[in-house]
Amino acid sequence: MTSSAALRPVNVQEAADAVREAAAAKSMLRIVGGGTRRPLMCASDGNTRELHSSALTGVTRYEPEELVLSVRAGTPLDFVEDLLAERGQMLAFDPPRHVHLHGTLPARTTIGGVLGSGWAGPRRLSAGNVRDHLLGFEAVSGRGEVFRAGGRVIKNVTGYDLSKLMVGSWGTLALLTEVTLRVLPRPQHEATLLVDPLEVDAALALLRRAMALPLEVSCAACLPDGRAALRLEGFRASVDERLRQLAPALGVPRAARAILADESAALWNAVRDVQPFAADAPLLWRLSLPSTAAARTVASVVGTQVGAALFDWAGALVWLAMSAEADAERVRAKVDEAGGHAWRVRAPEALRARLPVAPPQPAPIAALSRRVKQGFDPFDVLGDGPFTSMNAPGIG
Amino acid sequence: MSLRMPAPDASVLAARAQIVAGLRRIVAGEGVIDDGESLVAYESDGLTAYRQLPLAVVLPRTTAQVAQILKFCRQHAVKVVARGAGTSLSGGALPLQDGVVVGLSRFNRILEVDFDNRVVVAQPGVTNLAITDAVRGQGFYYAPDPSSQIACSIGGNVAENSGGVHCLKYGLTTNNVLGVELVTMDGEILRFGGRTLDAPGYDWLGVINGSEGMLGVITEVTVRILPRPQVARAALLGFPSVESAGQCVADIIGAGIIPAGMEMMDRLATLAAEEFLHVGYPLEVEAVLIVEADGVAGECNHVLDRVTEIARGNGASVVRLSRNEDERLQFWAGRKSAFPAVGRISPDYYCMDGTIPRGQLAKVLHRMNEMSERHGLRVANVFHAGDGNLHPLILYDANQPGQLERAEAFGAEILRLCVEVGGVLTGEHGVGVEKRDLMPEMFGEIDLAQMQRLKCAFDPEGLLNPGKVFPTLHRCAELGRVHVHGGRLPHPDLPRF
Ligand SMILES: Cc1cc2nc3c(=O)[nH]c(=O)nc-3n(C[C@H](O)[C@H](O)[C@H](O)COP(=O)(O)OP(=O)(O)OC[C@H]3O[C@@H](n4cnc5c(N)ncnc54)[C@H](O)[C@@H]3O)c2cc1C
Repeated sequence: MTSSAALRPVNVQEAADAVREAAAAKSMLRIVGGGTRRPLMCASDGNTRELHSSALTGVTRYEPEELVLSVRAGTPLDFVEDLLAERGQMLAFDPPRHVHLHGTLPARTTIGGVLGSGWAGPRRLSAGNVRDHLLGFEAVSGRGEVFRAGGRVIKNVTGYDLSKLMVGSWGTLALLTEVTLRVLPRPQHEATLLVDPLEVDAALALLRRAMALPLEVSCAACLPDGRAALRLEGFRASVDERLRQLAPALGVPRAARAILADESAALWNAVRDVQPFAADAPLLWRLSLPSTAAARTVASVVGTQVGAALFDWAGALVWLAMSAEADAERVRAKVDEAGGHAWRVRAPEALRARLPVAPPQPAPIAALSRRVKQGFDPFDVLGDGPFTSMNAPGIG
Repeated sequence: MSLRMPAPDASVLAARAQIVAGLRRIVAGEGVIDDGESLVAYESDGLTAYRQLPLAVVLPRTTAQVAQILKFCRQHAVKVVARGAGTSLSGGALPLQDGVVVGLSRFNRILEVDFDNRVVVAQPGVTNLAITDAVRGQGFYYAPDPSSQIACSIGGNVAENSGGVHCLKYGLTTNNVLGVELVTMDGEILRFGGRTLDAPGYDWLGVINGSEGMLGVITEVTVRILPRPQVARAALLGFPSVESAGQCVADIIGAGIIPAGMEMMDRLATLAAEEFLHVGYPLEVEAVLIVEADGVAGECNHVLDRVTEIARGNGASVVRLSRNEDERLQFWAGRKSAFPAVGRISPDYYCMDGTIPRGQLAKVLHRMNEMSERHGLRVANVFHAGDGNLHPLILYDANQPGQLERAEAFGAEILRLCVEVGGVLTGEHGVGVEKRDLMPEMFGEIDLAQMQRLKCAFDPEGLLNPGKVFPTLHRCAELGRVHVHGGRLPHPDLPRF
């Protein structure tokens, strides 16, 4: 539960004041963008107020020819993507919409929320992660100080890359107030090769073979029904030629068909937003692991049950749906063994306390996390976001 | 050259013999170097204007040895400078008089090539090119390709977040590293990331890349590899003015094209390269642009058709497309040897590394020419045009009294100009000692303090590579307090360099 009404600073100074006041009052703040990922945060007590970025909106600078966009952090993602689309550009990391997944309709994802949580969509495989697209920022630290890092250019090694540290820090270090993003041209055309259902390990092997071909496959997934999907994007002539080469190179000449343009894009938006599991699936995991270990790891938890997993990133990202009774505790052990980590995205009330949201970290790294947090937020005004393990090193 | 470094610790200098003996207990035999003559090899990196003999050099072979060395040094308050191949152009690996250099040259093995997951696991002393060599036979390569790639180490690449001509399309080092093993100053061995496409918790890899040896010693690196494109073709374009070349670059990006590489050279750099290698660069133009496309043939044809059209629209007087691999390599050869080529037309040169928004190119080059006249020194420009990264090479003669100082003043003025037009001090070479004192041009006191607090989380005693990157040496305890108000200088009493 949170106490009293949410704070809505209208500028960076007000935001800094709010943080300083909270520190002085020994109370806590929880930074909220659109609130779509609220269910992933640790429970907070009555001493916590929400600080919303909803009044920190708008474009501060858009230079399409420089491929750079600066916006205030509370700006809705839809707005940003529409603006970019008008100039034939996009956020290449493919930011997902998880409102359905988290049941947080009608919340709207904000750009700050996308960066704070740091989860990229299917195109991460070829275009880089969320963190690879944040060039610079302005923020208010937990100390209540306004600070900046990075810049407006792609190549920049001036000082530590704090932009990367902000991405995926879930608002535990600082409140982003303005962000500068790298944007890229939107591809002129796209096609997706769909291969008829295979066993999961065969499908993932096929995806890996596709990624080893010099055909610039931009996204590669194995859908819950066992179909493999391979996306090609770019100039029309290039996409056409690569599509002609792809099926024969993989040895799947007959059992494959291609979908084009909007139909292809719709498929990938569904993968991005984890639509197959948006509605039911009481227990849902997001696993990041080496592709070669994915099929085995999933089988060790759910057996050969069809329809339980959506494999993205050529198998290196798995959305795993389980029935609530299933042996949930084994998931993390198995994923750890494979050299990966697991986020628990959704769980029935009864299981939540036992299954922390964020992947637990080894004790020395948890200790380092605490020291880093101390440097940004010494009074612990901003809380731990989803990272329960920061408080309890060594657990898990 | 005068460069203020942290004052050496007299008690450490006095204890040199014991420190060397302690290091010998960890790394036997030739792995510890302490004689003056052999130490000379380590007295500087690629920024040779600065030299300093270290207290000693230690060359460990195993991560366990690195951990013991760092623990030992921390116990005895000995500073540590990690060193890869020593090609840094910013003085990042410059030794300290009271510091031990930990050289990673014996960490020279590729530990695993995993084609299935498309990664290579390498020790930090492996050269950048050796990674590509290890996977070439299977049709793969490691994309970031600094011009120093035959020599520089992958550990150094991570520490500097190095770039290369293909980074426009394929990203810098930080975008291609999936895992790192790091030994902290208290001897703890930490592993971050691995073979996954993201990692849990804070983005450790993000801060380790580009941390200039100040957070820990990197003992293992996992990088992603890519299948080599079927075709690569390049266009060699000549323009009557720098402005028109700059506009061509903007129009190519504006047409939705992200080339595999897009490099510009001004007249002086072109002349030098042509004189050096005779690759057939046009000499009657003011700017040469090389644009590379890669992928399937259809992709290359499409991109080069559009590039040709755009170049002609911008008044290009020379348009040549590579017809075969030899010709493509020839187009690149001059650009790739631009530094040594300039080295032949001048006794010395000073290489700068600012980045600017692309649209500011003409203005910046114009202002640079003014500065060149004022300082009485010539400047040749090579330019990663696609991402706005400038490499002005200031020509001088160190034997002429005052020229080095003028070159440095000129260089600092260029970097200030980069910041003024919305750019940054360094695009890929790092801050090191070279740009340390210019940091306040780009960052306020609070910004710098926040970066330093990150260092404190890793190295609270400030023993790892002190005197680099930050213009002021803060004690971590001071930074921990909260008393920076209104951006005022919090500690007027602290040593500034
Ligand atoms: C001719 C020439 C051309 C160049 N071209 C380019 C270019 O195109 N692009 C580019 O980006 N750079 C370029 N450079 C600069 C340089 O090659 C890079 O910065 C390179 O990454 C440095 O690697 P190194 O192994 O030589 O590191 P060093 O010079 O040995 O060290 C550089 C820094 O990294 C730290 N370090 C090294 N190894 C480790 C480790 N294992 N753990 C922790 N810290 C470590 C050092 O402490 C130091 O701060 C060029 C240099 C030369 C001389």
